[in-house]
Amino acid sequence: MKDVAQVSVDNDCKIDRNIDEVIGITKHRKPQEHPYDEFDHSIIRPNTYCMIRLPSKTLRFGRLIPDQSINLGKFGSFQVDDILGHPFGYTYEIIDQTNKLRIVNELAYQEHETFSTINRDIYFEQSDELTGANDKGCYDSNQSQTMTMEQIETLKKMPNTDSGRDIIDSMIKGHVNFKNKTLYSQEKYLERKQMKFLRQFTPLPVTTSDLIEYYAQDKVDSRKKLMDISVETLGLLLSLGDIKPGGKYLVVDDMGGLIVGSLMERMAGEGTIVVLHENEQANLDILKYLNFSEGLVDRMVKTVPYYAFLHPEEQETIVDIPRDELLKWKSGKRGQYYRKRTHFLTFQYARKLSENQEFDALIIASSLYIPSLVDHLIISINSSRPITVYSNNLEYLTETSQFLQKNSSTLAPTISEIRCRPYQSIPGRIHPLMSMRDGGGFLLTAFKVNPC
Amino acid sequence: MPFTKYSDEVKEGDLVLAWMTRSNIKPMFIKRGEQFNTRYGVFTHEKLIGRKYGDQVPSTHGNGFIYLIHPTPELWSLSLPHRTQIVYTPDASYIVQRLKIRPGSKVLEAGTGSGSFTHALARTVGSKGHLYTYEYHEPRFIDARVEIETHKLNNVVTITHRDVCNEGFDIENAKIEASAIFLDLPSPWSAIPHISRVVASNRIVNICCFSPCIEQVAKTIEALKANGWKNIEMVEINARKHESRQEMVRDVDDAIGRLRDVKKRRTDGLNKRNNRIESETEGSSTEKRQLEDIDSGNDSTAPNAPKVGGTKGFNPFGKGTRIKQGDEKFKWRNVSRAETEYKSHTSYLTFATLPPPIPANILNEDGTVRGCM
Repeated sequence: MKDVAQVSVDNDCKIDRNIDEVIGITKHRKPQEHPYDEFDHSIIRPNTYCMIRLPSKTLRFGRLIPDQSINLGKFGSFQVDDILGHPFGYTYEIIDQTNKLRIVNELAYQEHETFSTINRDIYFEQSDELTGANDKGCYDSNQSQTMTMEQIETLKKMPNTDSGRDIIDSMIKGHVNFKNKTLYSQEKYLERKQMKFLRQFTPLPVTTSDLIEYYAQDKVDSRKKLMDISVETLGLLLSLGDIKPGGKYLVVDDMGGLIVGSLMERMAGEGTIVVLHENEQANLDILKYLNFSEGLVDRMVKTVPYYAFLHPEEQETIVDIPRDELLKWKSGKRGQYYRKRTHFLTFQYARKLSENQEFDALIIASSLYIPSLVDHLIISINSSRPITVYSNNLEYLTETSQFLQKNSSTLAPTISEIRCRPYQSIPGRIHPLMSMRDGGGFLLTAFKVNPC
Repeated sequence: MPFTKYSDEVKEGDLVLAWMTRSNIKPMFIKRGEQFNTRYGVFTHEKLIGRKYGDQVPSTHGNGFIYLIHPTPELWSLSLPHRTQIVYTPDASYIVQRLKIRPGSKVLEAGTGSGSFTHALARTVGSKGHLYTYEYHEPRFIDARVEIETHKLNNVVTITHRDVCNEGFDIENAKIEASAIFLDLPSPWSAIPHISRVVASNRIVNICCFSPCIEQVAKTIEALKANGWKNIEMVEINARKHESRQEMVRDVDDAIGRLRDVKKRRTDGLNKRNNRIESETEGSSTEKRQLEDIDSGNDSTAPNAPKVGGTKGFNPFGKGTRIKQGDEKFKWRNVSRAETEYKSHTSYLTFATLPPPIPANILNEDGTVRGCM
């Protein structure tokens, strides 16, 4: 049997200056950090989670396991190995049958994002100004397209469909009224068909913003899991919370770790996040999708149940047992002791930060009743530091705001709402999108102060 | 480094924000012998030294007070001297989030303007990153440079006096390798062709162009496309504030009850009066007043009149009296109200991404790609 205390010493490398050491935590098995900068999102690494954007702007999400292939449904599939080590951001085209990849050429002048792949001149011989085209003589009917479903399906199965471009080409040739459409309407038609048939994809690094967009694709999921938060509200929360490297933050995150993850992104490994949770274990699943190692999370994030944080007097004290004594114990019992001792010391550390009012911000995104939650936690925060509460219900925040207005240790409670409105971004045809995502939640902010 | 690191105690030389009201926050540099004069009183710096950030402090004569607030980029944007129109927090926060600016990022900003966004960017990139900011207007450049120095941001921010539209972004002896670019210029399209020389060559690069007019957006999009930028999308940020207050719950049944009570007392009063007039042919002036009192409901013997919050019989909503919001004698509800005016347009934000040049070691002879890990 290996000497446990010895193992932890062996593993001491770059982590030895961390809080665990300061507060005396010894781990049975010390979780490791990745051997590279975990906040560097420049290249595609093996065994990491990855976002994949399709021509339709749909996001797919998956893990890049070497030697395996990723199936993008009707868009085809590709070998993970072919993109490993590449910088993020290229758009790849799946070459039919072989499933080899080609980077879509960026250099040509493009009217549209995916346009350079198609020889525009074939379709747009003259501009509208010259033809004076409008939709006067253009009638929609299901006879406009002379190609049948069967013909399209056959084309899709043909070996030389050139990553979907041949299909689009044939469909345009088969469209009776295409020439009568206006230039913009032709472009729109082409874009629609490209979204449907082009076998292209773009790998992107996973960030909290992308996860919000990903979950937002399924409206029910997003409202439930991420409490309906939008990218812009998260951005505002991080700014108003003044999140920066080296901070110590007290956090309630009922979004499975999205808030904690977004803080980690803005702290780049420096600082501490104390996460309070209602169950015995905190749910921080999302941190895994952000490709943070167990070691990094273990070093930065300390989880404490409300019960232990607010009622330390009711917690069991785990006394220090001399190493000689421990070595006589069975491995299982010793592991359990280390686990309990780690929890105990973590709780104590969190309590100390609270008692000394060392927290640099209070960040709350919770489904618990907010006024009483805020009431319990305000005392832990340092003065002249922000309190930031997210909720998808304005009502909870108006109530909390009333509560804070009566509390002399908080200054200027303010409820903010932020919404991003996307536009169709084609010169000459700029207008707000006809439909967009609604919701996105609200923020309540205030400053902790010391009244005289 | 007030914007990149918190301190707990006010020290000589510190930049402190004197918070008087939400709309009146004034920056002050703490220096022994100086004093801060406001209409809320006089505050001698000497007495502020050693106080905790967040303390509420009374003025010398005790006739007013201020809060000593630690600077943050967001509060700075509310208290700074305006040299130009500034990028406000809602736009700024979204831009940082969307450009994926992180500690360690190298960022370009042109122009510096009033330096509001400069502070927010510096806070986020931190000492491991760097912000290169450019300002072509000389007096503004000089002011901003002084500000960067006095705010101790020199190790994070490099400011250059330059018209980037004509002269580009290159800085002698500096390997900029930016991964995020923010252009707040009258004609961003003329700066865009210069960008490729100073961006990171091994990673995706993000840009945001900030322009108030739609015509500028159209020209910007054309320039971005011509220079190989992808995923071009323009958005607009709308931000509003909600005021929270309590409103009295005024039940229709209580309104009816009140009128019922008024009517009853009037009838009772009339009956009483008629009876008295009948029984006495002559009345003294005191009695007359009493009768008038009954008319106006000031009779303490009025029947079944619960005195809620007022003096006039059944007064469920405290009519005619001064009521403080939240007065426990009444029922209240928390409500929110929009501000009477808000910034309905600041600028259009045009975002795009630039993929890096394709490295030769990932290309096969037939034009397909291979992994390199």
